[in-house]
This record gives sequence, structure tokens and C-alpha cells, in this order.
Amino acid sequence: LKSPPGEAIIRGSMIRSLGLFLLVTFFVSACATVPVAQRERRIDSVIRLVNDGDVEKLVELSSVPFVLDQEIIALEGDVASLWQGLIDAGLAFDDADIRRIDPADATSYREFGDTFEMDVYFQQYLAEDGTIVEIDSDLGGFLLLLGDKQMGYPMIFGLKGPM
Amino acid sequence: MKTLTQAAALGGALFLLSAGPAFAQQADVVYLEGYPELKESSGGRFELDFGDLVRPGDSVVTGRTDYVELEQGTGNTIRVAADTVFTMQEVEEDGETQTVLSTAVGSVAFRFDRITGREPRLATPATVAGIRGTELTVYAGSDGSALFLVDSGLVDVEAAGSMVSLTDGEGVEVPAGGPPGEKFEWLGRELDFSTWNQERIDDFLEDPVAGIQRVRDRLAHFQGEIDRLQPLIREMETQLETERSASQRYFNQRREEEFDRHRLETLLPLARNLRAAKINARYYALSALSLRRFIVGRLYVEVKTAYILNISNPTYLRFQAIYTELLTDFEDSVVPELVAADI
Repeated sequence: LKSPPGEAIIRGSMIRSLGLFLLVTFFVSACATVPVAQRERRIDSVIRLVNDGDVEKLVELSSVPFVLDQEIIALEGDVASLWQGLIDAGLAFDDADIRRIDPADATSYREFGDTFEMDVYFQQYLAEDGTIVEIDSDLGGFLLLLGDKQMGYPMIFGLKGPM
Repeated sequence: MKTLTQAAALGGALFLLSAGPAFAQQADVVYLEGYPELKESSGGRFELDFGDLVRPGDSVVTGRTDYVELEQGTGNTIRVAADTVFTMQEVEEDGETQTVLSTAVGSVAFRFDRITGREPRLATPATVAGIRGTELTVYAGSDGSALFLVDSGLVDVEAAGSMVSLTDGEGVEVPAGGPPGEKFEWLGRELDFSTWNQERIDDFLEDPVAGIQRVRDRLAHFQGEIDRLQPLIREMETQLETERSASQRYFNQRREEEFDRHRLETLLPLARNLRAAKINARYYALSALSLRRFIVGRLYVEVKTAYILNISNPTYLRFQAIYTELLTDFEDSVVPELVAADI
């Protein structure tokens, strides 16, 4: 039996809608499961903030306390001085290449420093979706410690480098 | 069961010893601006609110635009300015618990109207000051230096083994790691913390190697005190165990008179001394942590930003070498005295 032409058009339209729905569902669920801190495009947006010298935004996105190499910077004013100083000095991740994006685990603190303080910081202050991002740039290798999110950006918990 | 009763009695005595001064020295938040934080001795951090209590062991941490006013007892006022870390600490001295109001970094103004009992001591990472009926401001610089400005009363400022006495309208600057300088008249002069602090940072950057060495020396002082107290604590702990066994023996043998005398003349004084030694070891460990966090942390930021594009510079490498030694010393001597909640 052949279906009337109108019915075929309706069925085709339904299949397209279903396909679109599945695609959107897949995209939305993918976004929901991959933390912002582990999405390459979002990490790029942080790198862009450094390259643009957007101190205000960098300070806004920085967690306090903040990790610099293996030092915990505990004052908001010191974190602001850090970003201002780095940008004034000319820090930029030119030709940055993201080498790896690793969710932080129980031993990740050692990448910043094999110390009691770093161990406690990673357990106590880092967001649950804490992520270590390694980037290569013209200035050398850097580690970014990211996690959580704020206005679509990952928050910055720490910075190490150049290594 | 009886052993438990004895233990409870001893525990109770110790509790009374510690609870008395702690209650007397707590401060209430009577005014605030911005979003200052309270870091509790238990490790909890939360936003301060009107009416919150700041207890010994707690720290008030202010951000760039914050301000906190505390009231202690009947009329003592403590004003904590922006970008400041103010901590209430305890130390044992001559068998009494002494409160130390410590400014790790930043600026705090004090007005002590009616001090009942023993007067508190004021401290910065490198200085201590005794006070008598005083209104003064303490600036604790990012490089470990300090500035004391007295409005009224008497203040004895002590650092590196030297002391200077200040009275109405006098001030003194204490360079990081050094003794107090010459006292000066400050009333009528324009002095603000951020300008003074920036000058200290600029001085530090002139010679960051000497600057970090001074901080390392100060850390060594705290480590020395901890190292001196640790064997004493271990010895007293062993002795206390032995004396507790003796006490238990007297009790089991129903030698009540000997039991009471031993408890009063041996056990309780020993427990008191052990507690004092532990409080003091803890005081030095937390002072070392404060130095590490707020002084070393800020100096590291300054050096890192100054040399970020020139990390093979010899000055930077020398700074890093001393800094690395400082970290090793800290891990070896201070960290064993700390708990996760301190970080």
C-alpha cells in the first residue's frame, strides 16, 4: 500500500525534527557532562584574556586563595597585583598550544609542588571539577589550574610557569 | 569508672584554664564594609557579618575594599583596614595565657579604653609590642617591616633584641629583620598605609636576594623556638604518662592522701606545663605560617612578575635558591606542627 503524498511529507518532516531534536539533545547533554574547565574553546577564552591583557576580568575569574607555582596567594589585593604585574611585564601566551587537559586527581598537587600546603589546597580549595591544563607558548610551558565556572569562563585557581 | 572520673577532673581543670581567657578576649563585629572573611582556627572560612564573634585562633581577612570594626570587652576597639590579615593568637607566659593581637599584613588601629586584667600584646611578623592604655595604629608591610604610630598611651616595641618606648604622637619604623629605628614625631604628618607599603616593596625589589634572606632568618627564629620546645614536649608527655600510672597506683591501693598530694603537686603542674609548651609551639608554628603565607607569598608575586620574561637572570636565580631552601626548612620544621585546617 502506498501512503498518500501528504503523509510522506509529514513523516519526512517528523524524521527531520526528530533528528534535530536528537542532535540538540546530544549537544546539550555533552555540554552538561563536560565541565567548562575542560572545554578547549573555554580554555582558549582564558588564554585570550591573558593575551588581551584584560587584568580586570582575570582578577574577577581568579579564585582567592590562588596558587602561583607552589605559593598560595591568600589576599585578593595580592592576586590583583599578580595579574597586573604579569600583564605589565608583557606576559602573553603567543601561539599557545594546548598540550593536555587533565582532570585533577589525588596526586595532581605534585605538579605544582610536592608540599603539604599544595596537597591541602587541592583538597580544600580547588573546585570538584578542578583541571590541569598544560599549554606551550613562545615563552615556554605553563600550567593553568582551572575549575568551576563564572559567566561562561572557567575560574582560574592557579598558574605555574614558565617551566 | 574511677579512672574516668579522675580523667574528667583533670580534663575539667584544663578546660577551665583555657576557657577563661578565651572568653574574655573574644571580639564582636560591630561594623563592617564590603565582604570581609573570618578564617576560623578550625579551618572554616565564611563571610563576616554584624555580631559575629572573633575568637582566639581566628583571623579576619579583608579584601581590597573591605573594612571591619571589632569591639572587645567594654570599650576596646580594633579597626581592620583593607587588604589586611588580623589574627587573635594565644601564648603562655609566666603561667598565664596571654592574648596576642597580630597584624600579619596590612593596617590595624587599636584603641584600648578599659583594659581589665593583663594587657594584650600586639605583634607583626617581626615585632612584638607591649601596651599600656593606648590608642595606636600598626602597619605591617608586605616585606615583613612594621610601623607603629601611637596616638596616646605607652608602647614598647621590640624587634631583633632591641626595644624602643613610644608615647603620645610618636612613631617608629622597624625594618624587616632589623631592630626598631629612631623614633619620630608623626602627628600632623601625612601617612597612609598603601604609600608606605609600596615604598617597602620598591626597596625590597632593589635587592630581592637580601630581602628573602631576611625573611628566611626570621623564619629560622620561629623554627628555633619550635625545635627548642619539641624535645621538652616529648619529655613532658612521657613523664605525664609515668605520673598518671603512679597516680592510678595510689588510687587502686586506696592511698588517698598520697593520691591527692601527687595529683596537686606533680600531675596538675606537669599537665599545665605541657599545655603551655604546646600552646607556645603552636604559636610559633602559626607565626611561621603567617610569615610564609603573607610575606613570602607577596614577595614571591613581586619577584615573579618582575622577572617573568627573564627567568635566567642571576638575581632571580639567587632569589629562587634561597626561596627553595626556605620552603625545605618550612616543610621540615613547621609543617609537622600544622594541620590541614591551618592552611
